[in-house]
Amino acid sequence: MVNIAGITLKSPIVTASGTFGSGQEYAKFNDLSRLGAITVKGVSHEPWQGNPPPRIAETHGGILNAVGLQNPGAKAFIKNDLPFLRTIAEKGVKVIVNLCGRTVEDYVAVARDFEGVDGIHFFELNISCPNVKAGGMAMGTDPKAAEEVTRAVKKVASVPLIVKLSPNVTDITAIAKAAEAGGADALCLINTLLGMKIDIHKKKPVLGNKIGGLSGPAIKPVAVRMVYQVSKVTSLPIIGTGGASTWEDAIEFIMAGATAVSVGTANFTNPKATTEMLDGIIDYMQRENIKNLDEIKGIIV
Amino acid sequence: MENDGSLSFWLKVSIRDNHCISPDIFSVKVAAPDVAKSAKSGQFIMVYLDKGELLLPRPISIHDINDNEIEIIYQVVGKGTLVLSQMQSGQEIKILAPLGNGFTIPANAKKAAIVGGGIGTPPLYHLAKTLASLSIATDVYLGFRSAPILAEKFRALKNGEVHIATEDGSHGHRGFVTDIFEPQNYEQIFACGPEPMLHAVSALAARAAIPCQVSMEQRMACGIGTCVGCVIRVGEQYARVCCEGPVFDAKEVFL
Repeated sequence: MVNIAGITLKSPIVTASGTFGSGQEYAKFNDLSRLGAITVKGVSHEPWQGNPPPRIAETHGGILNAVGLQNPGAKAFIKNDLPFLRTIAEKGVKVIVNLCGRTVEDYVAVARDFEGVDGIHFFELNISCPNVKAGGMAMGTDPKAAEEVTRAVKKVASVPLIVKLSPNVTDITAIAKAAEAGGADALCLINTLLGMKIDIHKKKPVLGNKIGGLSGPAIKPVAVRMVYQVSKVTSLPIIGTGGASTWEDAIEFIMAGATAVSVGTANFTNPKATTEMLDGIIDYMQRENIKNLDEIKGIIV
Repeated sequence: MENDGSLSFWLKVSIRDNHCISPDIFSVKVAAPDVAKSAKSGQFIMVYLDKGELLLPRPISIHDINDNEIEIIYQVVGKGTLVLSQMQSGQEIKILAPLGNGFTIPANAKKAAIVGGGIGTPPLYHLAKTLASLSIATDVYLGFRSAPILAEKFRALKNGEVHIATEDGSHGHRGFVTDIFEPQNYEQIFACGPEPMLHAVSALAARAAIPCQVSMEQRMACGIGTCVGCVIRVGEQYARVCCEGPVFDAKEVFL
């Protein structure tokens, strides 16, 4: 059990936005009721069409994606996806709704779409998606803009607000502090790193959007470093994410300062990644006689 | 019909046979009774390589389904397929299958055509077999750069003519398969192959007002609809090849 902003997660394993749909697709591989939380695919106020294909490219130990947050909009999400999530929520799993937008008004509008809607426990403010031209990452790379959008959404948010941070910055601690100043209840880091792959035979970028976000084991050391740095400058709970694919990775994030660990790309490599990681963590705790993960959280000084 | 993977199996399966059928093209059979029972023509499987830095499973079309096993045929085009080609009989691999919608065989059809190009040919074989079992006479048109693959296997079905075109003229007609394909004799066309070929087949089919189903491919990550990575443009929107496809109405993709 871990605690994020006063809400108890039954386990430290969370799913990362955009890699787990709304959970249903992975229900036949995993006992979803064991997860701490499910973060749903990014939702915007209006439907978004996303980027032109190809949207996926594999790199050494990583994946580049340029999906561009294609989604059917909040109304369709509430109607089509939330009913299943509520059945999981009844089993004690928390639901994190990832909010995306291009302007402060967009983010506020999508947060408002969930006013009076039950079955959700957190918002995750996505100010870090590298695949959206305006808004998205632009707001997550400027401390003033990050603070402003956090404050605006916090004002209308019906549930605690997690801010998801971009690694594509000179100093991630500055953005973390800005989000905290804006009223964030928790932080999630990191989103993907900007990357590119060129098909040398076609002499063209592989991705339709040319540039995309790099995820997977290739970025894990960067993510662990940033979780470590951010944990030293903020008292907010951190959901660590970025290439975590094994239980050892999860422990590494926790030792760096994370309260929970979010699993993304690993779901593609192994559809059972989340629950297998959880098994590994439980075994490790028993072996090491750890009663509570707080005993090892942030032990790296 | 859309397939969200809810009818698919995540399995560790044993390789029964993995051999080269033509330069860089391999056939692999795996024992998977549940998949063999539920799979249909035109669906695909995800093959997990368990190979460190190669993270993503490889989507490969089903070539044939027999009793307890399924057969896939793939071309070595990169590191992942190279790893797969080096696996031996008896080794285990993980698969997620069957995936995708598969071909739709219209009720009461009497005469169909199959048009395949290059490595787009293998996914059409089980369809040809199914059409034969339904007594739907089917002519097959296959195009290759040079040496054909599987032509004899299609001929052995004895369910229609098999026409070959090669770009180098080494077998059959010299040129493209679309040079020799005349759609007006058929009630339904099924096609799989490189995009320019599918585009040309779709145009011919549309001109003759014959319905045409095309099997598409795209770079893919999850295979079950969650990542929205494998889209292609279908009509005014993007559709996921893994769920809404890989088989689409040619009109919506190309016209």
